[in-house]
Amino acid sequence: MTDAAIEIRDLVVRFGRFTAVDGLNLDVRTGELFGFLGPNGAGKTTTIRVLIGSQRPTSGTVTVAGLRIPDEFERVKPIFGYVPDTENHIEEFTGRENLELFARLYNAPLSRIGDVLRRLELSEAADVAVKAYSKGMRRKLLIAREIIHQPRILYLDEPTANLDAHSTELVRDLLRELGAQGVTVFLTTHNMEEVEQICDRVAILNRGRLVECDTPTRFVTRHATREVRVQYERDGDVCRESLDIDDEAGRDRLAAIIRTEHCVRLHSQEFDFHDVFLKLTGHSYS
Amino acid sequence: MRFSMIRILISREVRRLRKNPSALMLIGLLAAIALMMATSRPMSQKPGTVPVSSVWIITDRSAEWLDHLEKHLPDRPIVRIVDRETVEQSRPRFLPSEGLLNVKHEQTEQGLQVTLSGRYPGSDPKAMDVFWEWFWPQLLTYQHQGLNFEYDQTPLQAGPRAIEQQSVSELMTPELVGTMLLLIVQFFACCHLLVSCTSQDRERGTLMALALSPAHISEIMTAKFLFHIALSVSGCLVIVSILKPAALSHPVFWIAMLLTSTGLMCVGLCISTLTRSQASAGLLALCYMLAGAGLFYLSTKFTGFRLLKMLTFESYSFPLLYGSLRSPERLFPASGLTAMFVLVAGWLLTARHCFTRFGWR
Repeated sequence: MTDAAIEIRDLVVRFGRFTAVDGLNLDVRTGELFGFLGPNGAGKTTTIRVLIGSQRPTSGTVTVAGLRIPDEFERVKPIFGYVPDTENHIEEFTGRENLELFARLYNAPLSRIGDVLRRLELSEAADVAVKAYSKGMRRKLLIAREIIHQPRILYLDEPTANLDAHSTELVRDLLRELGAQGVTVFLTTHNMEEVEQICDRVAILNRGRLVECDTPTRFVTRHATREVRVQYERDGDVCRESLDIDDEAGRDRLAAIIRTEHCVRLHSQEFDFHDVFLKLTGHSYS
Repeated sequence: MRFSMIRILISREVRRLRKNPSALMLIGLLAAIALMMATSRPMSQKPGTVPVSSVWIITDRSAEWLDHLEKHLPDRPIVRIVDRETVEQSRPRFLPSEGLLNVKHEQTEQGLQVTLSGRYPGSDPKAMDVFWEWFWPQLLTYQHQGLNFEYDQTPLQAGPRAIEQQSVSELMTPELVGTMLLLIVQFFACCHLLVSCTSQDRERGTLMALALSPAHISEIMTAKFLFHIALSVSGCLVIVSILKPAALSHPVFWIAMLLTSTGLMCVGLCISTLTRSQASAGLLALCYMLAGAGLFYLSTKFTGFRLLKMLTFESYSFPLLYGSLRSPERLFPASGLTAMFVLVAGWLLTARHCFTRFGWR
């Protein structure tokens, strides 16, 4: 018995001759906030589609909460919530009516509608037709709809896209709260700051293959370079050097530059998830 | 299949229609047409003069006076002078709005005797007045020259040729118009509206959201079917209760109506499965309707299309609905209903397969 909420084994998804996901293996633990990163076309959305049962895998096995997808698709549906990257509300309905419909379908208590509307600061707009909502409000309503039945697993595709700073923080707090309550959160995002701030673990996918999967802290340990970049003037020219301060020669050279040259700029190279992401996915421009 | 789930999904469809009631307007309009027809029926059935649209002059030989007529043809009515042999070979069909003038030439002691047998359309000889007003003045010169005309006039129905084709105005009986209204209501409610709503749901991703909820795909499909069939039946009931209430008591009417609605819904579901956007789905539904109309026309001309027409359930629904409105007691629909049932069942299986496999994605 394992505590994995999601288990993906040797997942392959092909569209004709194009391989979208190529032998993916992944375990996501229960209650974990899992970040799924990758450049465009890496296979993130295809993987989520397989997880929610809307895409049949070419080969491999996928288990969600101990239920095999797509064979036990109908049984797994009440367990998860899925926030897609594009809104899919019933435009003619008000926000409350949208939530009411889904609460009824999930057999969730209608009293939760008020709670989730308040939690996502949508109470004032609850009785306005969705077609009058702003992009950010639509996004928040989508999240509200998908948590109304208190899912055990929540898939989110770009959850904070189109949100202002305040709403972004609101959603991040909500996700942390859900994680603390034992909800498994599986999110895809391009926002590296978000990944560092809220994710327990991060997987980086490139061209359908898993490149690396670890905690953000280990990513820092593994990929942070103890390097100092120095810029100084000599005979009217600007000179630049990168010095490894783990190495004795590097440290000596740095001391010499500081002592003898006219330093213009001096800064340490800190961990940058964005750079790591670019390096791992082969898009680094350094 | 859970009834509670279907009830929630149907209530969603009802609420959606209530928010956008334009769809109901067409059904209301068709019901209004039925009402107007029902209330104005006595006027349309009153016998009256059918104005002559054209007159055929059929002659057994050429003559100078006929040449003169040919050179001075009127604008109205349209006059055609044809040789009797040609007519007998080609056997033209005479419409009830057409008049006929048989011309026989006979040489007697008094001179050339011309016998004219006029046949008038409808039941009023005055229908030919417009023709005679042109005809007789043209012959004055010849009458003075000693040409004798004998004239006899009878209704066209009594003539040697049976009427093989009816005019549009005569075809427009309340039963036929009723059948057409029923088919339009059914096409609109079951095919066009279903296609529009389903493809809109699909385009917006709402269908996917519903499919990922605990509702089964088959429950979503059933809810859609029940909602649209209820809408179609309501529209049909309004029209039939206005035009031919007696038909409501006949089971053939109900079976034919329900089978037609189901078939059209299956077609609609297949169309929305095949297309990616609401606009293209609407266009495809329109194409289906036009293709159906084209097939019905072509089947009257070519045998190959007749066979193809027999493979459409609409080809059975039209005569069955018409028959059940006109004279249900004389209707023996076993073979028609069986064929229709088989075809609709085929469509149902196809629609179910398409929708559950990829129609909601």
